[in-house]
Amino acid sequence: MTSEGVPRLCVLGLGNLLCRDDGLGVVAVQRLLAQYRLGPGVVALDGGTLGMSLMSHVADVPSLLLVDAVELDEPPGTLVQLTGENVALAAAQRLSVHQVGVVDLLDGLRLTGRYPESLHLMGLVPETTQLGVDLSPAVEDRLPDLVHRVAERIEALGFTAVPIPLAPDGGHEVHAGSDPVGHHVAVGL
Amino acid sequence: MTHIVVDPVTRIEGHLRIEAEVENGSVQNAWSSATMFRGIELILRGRDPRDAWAFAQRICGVCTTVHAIASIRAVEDAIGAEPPPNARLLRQIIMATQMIQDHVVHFYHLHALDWVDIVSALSADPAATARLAQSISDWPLSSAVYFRGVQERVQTFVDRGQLGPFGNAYWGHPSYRLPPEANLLAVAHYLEALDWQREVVKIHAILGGKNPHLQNFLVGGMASPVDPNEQASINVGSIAQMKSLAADALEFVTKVYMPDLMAIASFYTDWAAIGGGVGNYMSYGEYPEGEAPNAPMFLPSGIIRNRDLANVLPLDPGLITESVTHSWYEDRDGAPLHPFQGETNPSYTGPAPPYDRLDTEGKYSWLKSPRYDGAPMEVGPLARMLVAYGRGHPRVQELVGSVLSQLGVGPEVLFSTLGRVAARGIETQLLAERLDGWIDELAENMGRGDLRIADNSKWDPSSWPREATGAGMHEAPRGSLGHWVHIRDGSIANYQCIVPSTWNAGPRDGQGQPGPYEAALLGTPVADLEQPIEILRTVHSFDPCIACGVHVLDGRGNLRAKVKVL
Repeated sequence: MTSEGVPRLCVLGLGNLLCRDDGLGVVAVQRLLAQYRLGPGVVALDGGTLGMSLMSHVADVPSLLLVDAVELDEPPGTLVQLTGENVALAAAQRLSVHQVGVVDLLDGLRLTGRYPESLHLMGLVPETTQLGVDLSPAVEDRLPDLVHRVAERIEALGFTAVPIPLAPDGGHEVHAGSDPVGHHVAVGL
Repeated sequence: MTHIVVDPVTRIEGHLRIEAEVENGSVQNAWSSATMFRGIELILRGRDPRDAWAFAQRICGVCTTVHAIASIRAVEDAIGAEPPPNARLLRQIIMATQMIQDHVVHFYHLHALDWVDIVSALSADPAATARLAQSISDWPLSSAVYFRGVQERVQTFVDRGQLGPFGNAYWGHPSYRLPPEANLLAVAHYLEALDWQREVVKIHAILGGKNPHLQNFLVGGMASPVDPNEQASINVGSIAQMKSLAADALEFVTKVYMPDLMAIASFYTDWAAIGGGVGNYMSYGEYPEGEAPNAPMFLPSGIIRNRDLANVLPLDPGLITESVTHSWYEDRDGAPLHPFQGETNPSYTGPAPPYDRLDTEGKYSWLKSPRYDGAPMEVGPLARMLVAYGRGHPRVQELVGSVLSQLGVGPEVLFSTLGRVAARGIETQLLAERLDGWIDELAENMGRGDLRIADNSKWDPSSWPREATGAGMHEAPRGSLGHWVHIRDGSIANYQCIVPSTWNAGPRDGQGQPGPYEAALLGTPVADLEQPIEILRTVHSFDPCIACGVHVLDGRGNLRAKVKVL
């Protein structure tokens, strides 16, 4: 979450966490936030399947990087990267599992003159989008690579994504959540 | 008799299929089928009930807050937690904001194109459009230059060759009745509403942080600290921002949405005699105006049977059952079950896709058939407004009376497709007027030093009974939403949801009684079998949202393999 005004790059994870690999974009953004310190001007958000309701988060943001499950006739876990018009075309041709939400969002931005100057989509081919909260082995296996590539792309776009050092137990530092009443707030989502 | 299929019904969340028999230009029989499986219940079993809301809010792509509200209410009911006044008010503000945004988005972005012809708008005279706009409202964006700019913007979009939201429509269909200038006016407001809807939800960001999914729900209250003078809390600055956003919302609803609704409706008054449906209406009631279990609700609860507005019956949630006679679930003895006894054992026996026809004599939908005291019920804005009208809600009676007199019709026309569209607007006006008052009440509490936001006394599972059941009811934008939870030894033993679109879009029950969509489509005219826009008008008037069915789809829209019983 950037502290200053309107961000210049929004990394938007898309998908339904209740449908296994369908939620891989959201999981990738969660891991990006846990493993990298994002520099000024970048915001990374869990967009779920909200579609047009996400307009308030991405309107007038110059660069938009979508992270999503992408249906292609390629093996599960295959890394997919698209840029520019190809993202909108892929969405229109329903390559992204979230075609409806993404199409609505992009059309809404275009119709209101708030379309991003630079648009990117990164993702993996899902193995299964059945009901469930865990990723398939094929997608789980390639997810670290996807997160790494997303961080590289953030850097290539002129922003910073610095790896957070591993804690002694091998895990990443866990930032105390903003839980104002001192309870644990729902975990895992 | 011609059998037609509308699949998928476009401009909705989720996947809905309508099959209909048409004879002599009108629908004689109709079947509504959700071709996606919903199974949140299976995900929640065994989990910590305090976490259920965070899973539940992922059920639906558009209305996350509503499932979170129903879930925390169900768990609070089970364990006996009592949220303090500030939590009630924070929820009130979140729910009302969601309702207002959702209704406006439905009207302009999901439903208007059934009544408004985009192609015709491109040929409108901008100067005449300006005169029309200025005759129905003092909304400032109404000059000829402005409307010419809108035309150019839409033309540029259409010229790209990708119609996007304007694709899959029946432009030029003879049942479009608006003059080109009214079409252009509506298209201009379609675009304005795109920007407006992202402003009004900033109220959610003020209350719940920048995450698109609100993170501030909590069993027992809310997790948003309130303190007039604290930077990191909801403070006097947040109150002022929310009041300003609420005032803008009211202005848009009063000066844009309602005048557009009335202008469009005046060309389509024949739709006040079409799309009536089951004639039974239900509201759980919403917006409690106090903490007591029987505190009055801003929108009252009640049941209307056979369109009898003079006798609104009290609601008894114990009379709710679901049957699966025509649904793709295991059906032990065919008896309808109360949600506390409800089961979700999927068993797909339909045809392998792609298919031409469903077996409408047998099982044909993933939705169950909810019934109240054995009868199908319509839920949603029309049901809420009818219950409030029948119970004598003064402002509802006033707004309904004003709409009816402007159209020159009597209250009997409310039971219709047009009645549903009008009721949604009336409800939006009502809530946009009320929202500011709830923000004031929150500010007054804070001013008095009441900063409590949660009842923590029941947080520890050791304070819970070994077994407990709870029901969480919520009037969501699309209607009555219920979550039922059964907790055993601190974790969820069973969880059942009945979502609004299950009430409205569900299939026939064991007695053969059609659901509200199926009943509403009877008698609907269909001028052109290839372009059944009239079916879309009636179905869209309910604001379908079938995404509450957690989907098992792939990106090409095919049902994936067989559904596995977990």
